[in-house]
Amino acid sequence: MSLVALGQLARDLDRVPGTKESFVADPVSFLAAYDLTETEREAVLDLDAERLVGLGLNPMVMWNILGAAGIAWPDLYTHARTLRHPTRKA
Amino acid sequence: MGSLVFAGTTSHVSGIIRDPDAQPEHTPALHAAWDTMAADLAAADPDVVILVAPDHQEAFGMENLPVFCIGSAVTHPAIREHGLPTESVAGDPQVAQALHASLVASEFDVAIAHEMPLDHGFLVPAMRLKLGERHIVPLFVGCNTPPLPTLTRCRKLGVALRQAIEDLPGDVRVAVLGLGALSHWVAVPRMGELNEEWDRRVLGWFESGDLDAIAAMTDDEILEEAGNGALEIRTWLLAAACAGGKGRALAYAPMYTWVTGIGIVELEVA
Repeated sequence: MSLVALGQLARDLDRVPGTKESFVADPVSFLAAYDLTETEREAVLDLDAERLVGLGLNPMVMWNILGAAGIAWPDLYTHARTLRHPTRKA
Repeated sequence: MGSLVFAGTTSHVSGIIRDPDAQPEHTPALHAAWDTMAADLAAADPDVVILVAPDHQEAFGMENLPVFCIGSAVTHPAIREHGLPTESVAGDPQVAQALHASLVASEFDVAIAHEMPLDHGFLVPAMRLKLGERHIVPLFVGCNTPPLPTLTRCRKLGVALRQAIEDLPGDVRVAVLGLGALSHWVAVPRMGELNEEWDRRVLGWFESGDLDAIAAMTDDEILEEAGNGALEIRTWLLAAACAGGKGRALAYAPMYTWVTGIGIVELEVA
C-alpha cells in the first residue's frame, strides 16, 4: 500500500498546472511516475472510489483524484467511467 | 501574562467563499452572523488569533501526520487547493513557541512545524472573518485520518491551551477559534445528507456549556448520526474548553448546497 504516492498524486493533480490534462489524456504514462502498487494503479485507472477507500485511502484524497478526472461528487460511487482507453492499433 | 479576549466556533467549507449566496433562504442570516463575529473579534483586538482546525491531507499527508501540531512560521502560505482565492497569513513564532513549550511542559506532546502551509480549513474562516491583518497561530487537530485524538483529550488540550495562553509573557491578547463543522458526510456514499436534529442538539450543548455531553459521544455514534465530517467537532470542543463558559449561537442553517450544517457560535470567556 503506497498511500504516500496516492496522496502525492492527488496533490499534484490539484496544484501542478497541466497535470489534470496529462492524467486524462494518457493515464498509464502519467501514473508511471508514481510508486503505486498494481492494485492501486488499477483502481485509479478504474476511477473506483470504493476500491481506493477500501485500500486505505482517505475518502477526501480519493475525491481529489476522481474529481481531477471530472467525476462530480454525487457520482463518486455510482459512475461508470474509467480511464482505460481502447487499445490503439499501430 | 497573556489573556484570552475572544473565543468562537464556525465552519470552514469552501462554499462560503466559492458560492456565498448559495441558498437565499439561509445565506443572508449566516453572513450577518459572520459579520457580527468579525466585528466582535475586531473589537476584542487580539494580538494573535489561534485557529484550531483540521487539515485535509493538504499540509500533512501520510508522509508525516501529527495528531496535534502548532504552526510557528513567520508566514503561513495559503495552499489554495481547488483554486480557492485564499491568501497567506502572518504567523507569530514567538507566541507559537511559547505555547508549544507550555503545552509540552504540561504533558501535551504537541508537534511543532516551523513551515506549515494552510488549507481551506484554516483560511476560509480567516478570510470570511477578515483576519488577514492579524497574526495567526494555527493549531492542527487530527480529525479525518484515524486514529484520532479522543474528544476527552481534545477537551483537556483546550484547558491546557487556556493555561498556556495565560502563561504567555507580556500582555498578549489572544483569540481562539474552533473551525470544524457540524453534520456532513465527505466523499463517502452518504455525501449530501445532513442531520439537522444532531446539529441543533450539539449546538444546544455548546450554548449551555455542557461539554460533558459532547465529550461523551463516541466516534462511531458521530459517524452514524452526523457523518465523517462531523468528527471535526473536536476543534469546537477544544475551543469551548479553552473558553470555559457558555456559548451563544449566532446562526445555524442546514446548508445542503454546501453539503454541511453550518453553525456560528460565540463563546463566553469564563
